[in-house]
Amino acid sequence: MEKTLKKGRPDIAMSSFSFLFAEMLNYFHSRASSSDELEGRLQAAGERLGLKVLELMTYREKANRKDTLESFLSFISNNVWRMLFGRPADGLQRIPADNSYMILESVPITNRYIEAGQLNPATFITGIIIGMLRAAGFNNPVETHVWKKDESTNETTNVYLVKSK
Amino acid sequence: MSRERNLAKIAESTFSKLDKVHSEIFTMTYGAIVTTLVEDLDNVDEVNAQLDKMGHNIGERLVDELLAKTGLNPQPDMRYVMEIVTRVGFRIYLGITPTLSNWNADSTTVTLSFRDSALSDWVELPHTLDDLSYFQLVCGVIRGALEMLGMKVKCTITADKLKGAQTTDILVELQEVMQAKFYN
Repeated sequence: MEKTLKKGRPDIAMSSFSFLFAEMLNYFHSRASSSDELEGRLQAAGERLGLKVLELMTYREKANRKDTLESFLSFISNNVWRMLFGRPADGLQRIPADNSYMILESVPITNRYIEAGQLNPATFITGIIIGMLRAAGFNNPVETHVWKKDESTNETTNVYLVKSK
Repeated sequence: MSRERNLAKIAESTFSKLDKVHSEIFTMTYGAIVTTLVEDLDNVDEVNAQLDKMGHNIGERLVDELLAKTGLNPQPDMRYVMEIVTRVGFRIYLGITPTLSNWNADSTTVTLSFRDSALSDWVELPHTLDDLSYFQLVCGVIRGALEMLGMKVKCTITADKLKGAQTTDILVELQEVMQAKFYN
């Protein structure tokens, strides 16, 4: 592998991504017979991306091999998020009751400017997390949820819930 | 001020006002799309056609945004429009500026050359995909964008870095000047 990932400033207009992402959604939509299938395909596309990201980042940051699930999720929500989205995720929390983890993100890039009806476009990002976890040898299931931040406002946040196996 | 420098300036000031992302997420999402299409579709020709179609839709939307944000409102003058495409469009939306060369005498055909791999960073094509045009999306974008500006063009990839060429080249040939779909 000759190329390494750049670590610069955001270098292209967001609409490039948004329009490309919308075309991918359209394509899946035209071929999927149910919303479950559509969601599954979107997630699978994210998984491909996740695998590739880990391949490239471990190449660049060999010293950063992560061993525990918690440290790996911290690597994802900081380093990977910065590389892909230009900033860290809004939070990483452990839920002691069942030993699961939540990565929090108020406005995922996939959900800006994109109307997708019932489908949560951030399922793509869930796929990225799943792909990375799998590539690193963790096979924890990951779910996407949308939570209200506060009952008094309608503000929501996306929750990528990484469940214990 | 020369037209080139003026367009470069418009590109910078427009870019500074737009929401931005890292090109990595774009490049990698595109990679995931190509891989998905290769698995889904029966043959490489269908993949190329699908990429071209997606690009066409994207091009229509991008030119709409580009004209709205820059205030440019070009006549269907191939030379000027191709300068806008390279110096403003590609600069803002792919972070690169391809070069224009080999204009024909009546300014209806030109070659765009991409030295940077941009879209195809980290991509290696297996030999089973020799006929895949990884850059076909870009052809579609140019076609869609120019159509909105009243120019029907044919785009052909004439050299491909992924297949060993020094640059990726797209030949753009004007076929017909039509009524522009976009009015400012």
